[in-house]
Amino acid sequence: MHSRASGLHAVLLAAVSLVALTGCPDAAPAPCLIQRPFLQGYTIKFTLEGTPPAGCEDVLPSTFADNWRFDGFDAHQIWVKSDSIPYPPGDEGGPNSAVLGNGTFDEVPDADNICTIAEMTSFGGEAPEFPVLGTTNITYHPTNLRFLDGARYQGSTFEGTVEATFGTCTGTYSVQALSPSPIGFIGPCEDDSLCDPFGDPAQGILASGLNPDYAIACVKEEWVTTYLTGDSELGICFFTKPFPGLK
Amino acid sequence: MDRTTLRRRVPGLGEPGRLRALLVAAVMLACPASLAQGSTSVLTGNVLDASTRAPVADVVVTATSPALQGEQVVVTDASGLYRVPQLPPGAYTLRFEKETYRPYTRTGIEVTADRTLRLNVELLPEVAGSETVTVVGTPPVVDVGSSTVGTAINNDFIRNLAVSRPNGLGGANRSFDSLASTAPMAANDLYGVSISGSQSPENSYLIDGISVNDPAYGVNGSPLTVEFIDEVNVITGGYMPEYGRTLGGALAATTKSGGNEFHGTIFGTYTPGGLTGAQGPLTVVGGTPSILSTRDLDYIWDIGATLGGYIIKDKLWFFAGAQYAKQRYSYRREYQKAQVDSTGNFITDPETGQPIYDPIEGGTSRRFALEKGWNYIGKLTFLITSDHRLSVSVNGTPTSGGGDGDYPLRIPGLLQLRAPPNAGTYNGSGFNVFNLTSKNDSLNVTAELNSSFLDKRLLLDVRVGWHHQLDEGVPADGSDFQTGAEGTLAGTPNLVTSTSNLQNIARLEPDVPEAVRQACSGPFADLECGFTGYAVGGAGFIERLKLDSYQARGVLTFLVQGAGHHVLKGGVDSSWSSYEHTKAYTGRAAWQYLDGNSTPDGLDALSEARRFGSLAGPDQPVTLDSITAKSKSTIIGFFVQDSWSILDKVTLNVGLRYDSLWLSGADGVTRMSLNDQFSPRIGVVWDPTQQGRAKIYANYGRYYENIPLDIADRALSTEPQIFGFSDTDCDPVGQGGLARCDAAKRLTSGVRPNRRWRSAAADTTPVDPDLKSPANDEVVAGAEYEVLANARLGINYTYRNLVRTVEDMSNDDGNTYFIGNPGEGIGDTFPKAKRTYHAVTVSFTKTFSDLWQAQLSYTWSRLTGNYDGLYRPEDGQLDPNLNSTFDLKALLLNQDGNLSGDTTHNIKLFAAKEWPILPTFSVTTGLSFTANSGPPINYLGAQVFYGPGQAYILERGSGGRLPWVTSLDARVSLNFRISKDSTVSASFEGFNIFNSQRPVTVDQNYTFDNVGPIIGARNGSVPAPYGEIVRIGPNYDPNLTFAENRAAGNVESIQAASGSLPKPRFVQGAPAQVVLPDPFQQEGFVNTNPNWGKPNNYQPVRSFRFSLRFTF
Repeated sequence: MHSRASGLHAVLLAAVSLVALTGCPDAAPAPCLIQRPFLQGYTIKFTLEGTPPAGCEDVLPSTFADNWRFDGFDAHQIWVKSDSIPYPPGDEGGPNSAVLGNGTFDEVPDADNICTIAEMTSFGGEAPEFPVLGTTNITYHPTNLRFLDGARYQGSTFEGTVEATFGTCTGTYSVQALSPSPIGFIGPCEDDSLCDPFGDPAQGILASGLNPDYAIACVKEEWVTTYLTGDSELGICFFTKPFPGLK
Repeated sequence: MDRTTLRRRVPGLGEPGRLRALLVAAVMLACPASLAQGSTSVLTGNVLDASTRAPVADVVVTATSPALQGEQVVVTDASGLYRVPQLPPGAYTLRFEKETYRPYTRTGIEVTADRTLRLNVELLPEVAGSETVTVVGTPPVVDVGSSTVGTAINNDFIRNLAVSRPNGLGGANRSFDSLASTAPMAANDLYGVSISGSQSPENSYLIDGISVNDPAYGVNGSPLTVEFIDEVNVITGGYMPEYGRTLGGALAATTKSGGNEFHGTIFGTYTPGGLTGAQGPLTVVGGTPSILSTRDLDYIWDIGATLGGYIIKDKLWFFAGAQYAKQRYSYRREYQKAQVDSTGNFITDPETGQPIYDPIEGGTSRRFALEKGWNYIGKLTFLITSDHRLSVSVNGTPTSGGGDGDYPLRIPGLLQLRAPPNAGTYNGSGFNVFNLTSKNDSLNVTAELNSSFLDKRLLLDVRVGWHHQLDEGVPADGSDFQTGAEGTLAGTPNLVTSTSNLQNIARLEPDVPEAVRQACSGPFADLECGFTGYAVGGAGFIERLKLDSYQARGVLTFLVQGAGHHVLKGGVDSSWSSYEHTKAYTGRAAWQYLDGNSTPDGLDALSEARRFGSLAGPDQPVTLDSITAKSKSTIIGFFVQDSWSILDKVTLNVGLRYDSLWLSGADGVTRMSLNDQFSPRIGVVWDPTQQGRAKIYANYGRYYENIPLDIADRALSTEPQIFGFSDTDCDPVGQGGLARCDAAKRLTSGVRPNRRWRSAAADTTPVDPDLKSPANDEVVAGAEYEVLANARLGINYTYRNLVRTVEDMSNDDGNTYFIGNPGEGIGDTFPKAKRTYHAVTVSFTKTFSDLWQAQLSYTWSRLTGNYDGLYRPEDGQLDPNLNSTFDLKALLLNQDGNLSGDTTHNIKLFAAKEWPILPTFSVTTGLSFTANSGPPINYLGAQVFYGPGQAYILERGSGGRLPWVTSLDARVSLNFRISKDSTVSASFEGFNIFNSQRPVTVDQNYTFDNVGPIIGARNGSVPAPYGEIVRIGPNYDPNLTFAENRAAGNVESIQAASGSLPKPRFVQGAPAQVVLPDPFQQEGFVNTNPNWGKPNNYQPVRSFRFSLRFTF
């Protein structure tokens, strides 16, 4: 009897130990994601911080817009290009191209679902027919780009700081961005209907592609109509609230 | 334990003593079954004094059987209850003895696997002498203690009836899971047998208690031959918490064991292809039938032997077996030539507008597809002491195919599909595209310890096991995954030619017969012998899967008294699975020819359809020869249950199971953690006769899915790919083609960071942090009554409802995806996954006795919802929890209705009888008849993002139903008794004797054009003008809307809308054009598919199998 009971006790102890040792791990958060170029990039609102340097009042816009395309590479490297700055003749791209910027992305989001690119290398070149300014040289130097990530948002919006140089004038801008590109993917809007995140499959209306949690409307402010649509009656679907822009 | 010397005092079970007993005529049998994962059965019951009806304590009960090592002895407790546990299946004798009673012996008690049988006994007081009373009458057969619904298929069924069809699921080796389709509520599906409305990958497959499910895909990963199997339990519902982790049914196979006498078989079977029936006609209109394809069975055969016996009698038994099986199919090509006039135009059929083709004399070629393999088993059963038994078993099914100029029967990407490929599979490609060898190996190792303590009042069952699989499809020249080795098959890329421009097949295919080369040499050969989308070069996709599942389980059983008797069980079981998947493309990339309208710069191009690699920086490609990802899952479960025989009148089965599952991808990080799997079960069984002759039962349970690892491999791991667009003259298939085509990459973007290259599938799919587990709720209820000796009549109702599933979805029409629960969490804007099953089954079952047996059933069922299960029947996509069903909301339109597995009526009749002719000669005849009504037919079109077959134009099932499918099978065996224990049998089986050729699938593509669904419409309610037949005129302007074109006179009405979709036909020499909504719900038109509704697959053809068997 004693040996049998010892055997039983050993088995029960082993079962409890198995349970205790293995435990129940939580799922790790989704890796940091960035929206790929097939979504036509991010449309970005630039807002000047402070006052422009002397002599630059007519050069540095107080707000403007641009469309950037990011792409992800090995070792969490991110490269970016502005739609306003084409590859110059003879430039076939590659890591040495001056029109491309580079930075390193976080691997996993923080507790607030934020993934950051601390700094990107400066990039730029000649921007032909830039609204208001005409042909001008532009250089961007982004820092502290904070993407809202996780399974629900997947890097579809970010905020940050960009030092923008137009010619010889440099200003520091705070930025807020949205993907899929409202100007390149969704297209100009006359009203809020194009911004509907759900669409209506039964009516053949495609989803806008915008995250349904975002506070979005058809925005026709000057920075949109001047720098993106060129028509005061046409806006883009964009945030009505500051980052993270949730309803 | 020697009953004559029994002295030890057993607490709670009365005083031992010298024992003798008597029996009265009436015997009651009640069977509270508790189905355990294993091969342990129980005999239990109450012993009463026949004169006073009082319980008799301290009765010595001895169980013996040829299947049992030694004997098992217990004594009754104060309430007269005895319980003999942990018994292997077999025929048992129970002897009851106590002083002052006449001894009683009961023989012929058939114990099947994982059952508890109750045999109540009344002992006669000893009045004169001590003559033993032996009862030989038939015991009741109604299982009055269990609400489990299922069918036990034993050797009598296998030997006497035509089962495991040669060209069916069983394959050449006649695997055990092919027997499952004989059970009510079970039906063959594409990957196995579906049970109670669920699909085959959702079942649990067990051999000697360990799971042999494919850890990646859920299908049966070990198709072990029936020759090694003692019994297969097909459990369709109502099971206790010991069974879990399945949304389908359970197929539990128990292998044979040794014995105190040597026994075995030597067997061989042969199925000649020449005696198979002809398949029904497959008429395909349109396309480019330069090649007509046919598939015929060449042969199937197997030989083998088994031997079981003892090493030490009553102590150490063994069982061993080996089988070799082979099957070969013939794939024939008949080359045809189109009629072309002198100006180089097709001569067309005036009715259909299609080119007319004539066979080329001498233009036939043939190749074979071959598969062969072994099945083996070795098993030891060791009785350590009377209270401890250890069994160890090893079995495997190494199988290979292809090589030496033959195709394999299983190809990469479809290695889980056990049916031979359709006729056209190999014929759209050059031989080297399928010049592969395949492997599908499985190995199972099991060790089980059954121990008892406290004189069998406390039981411990411990089992550990390992299930291993190796599946692969690799080049036949042995070049394996060396995709950079030029001149080898692994180093030769695959290229698909233009899908719109006809090219001379004689130029594309080097192996064409000389007659074809001669016939296709004229100036118009590209038309006459034209082929589009022909694959040349190497295999393209090759893969190797290594799968392992390590399992451990421990169960404690304790018997207590309290207002009756309680059998308390508690257990823990765990499984650790891994899936190592190596993938590659031969020549490092698979290429396709693209027309200019598919390229960014509008120029024709060669592009990589697939290429593993990544970008180190802008336009800095890193090509990978292959990728290997290892994903893992762990599941730990606990359960407690009580089978409470309340005052020995009613049995209440209650229990709770809990499982926790987590999965990780290739980076080893846990990405899915499911800790919510609480599975309550409750059932009640009442025997109104209290004689074991009838029962009324009901049971409720919740069941959870054990999510296979494919989702971790494909979505939780990256599968990085790169591609670009090269000039078309770079020839990727030729020597150095990869480098040449890379150098010819064009600049195709002026706005992206990459100008020449693009990446794809580089990111894992994120998972909803609030993900919940997929689950089913089930209710079963019914009644059974014993109408004849060894026969029972039953009626059963089963209800199953899908609570939720896990799937990948996109909230933004395919831009980004996530894994979640449709209708919950991040997926809360999606409709919930729905699948509801109702079934009523009436059955009659008689086990083999008095030289005959029968099993008859009729099932009425209804399967509705919007979710078929883990694979898509429309295209066979097997990606559990990742198929395209819920990808987009647009794909779900019109998807509510009768599901693909909905066959309303199912009839199964099986009967067999042995006819003794001489003392040494008998004939056994078996007849089987099955009939089922057909599943629904749909109207499918192309969805603008996902392509053909994805859009439901009308509601599910609007296209009517397929016809009934019937099959009459028969078996005749001539049995010659050579000696007392040895027999030679010659058998002849005929399957589908009348070669009924009813279609089992039809082409459901109403159109291959993009189309929008007509929401909520069925035939008869299609709103005008949809369904109108029109003719698009030559001036049709694509820049105008359809309505504008109609107003401009560019659309001619041929037939007015009638409220239904017209059956596709030819109008004015072309397929009919029908008004339907476009993807944006604007009025438009489509070109209908004239093959809609035409069969593309028939039921298996007639086949005959001859067998010779020596049994000793």
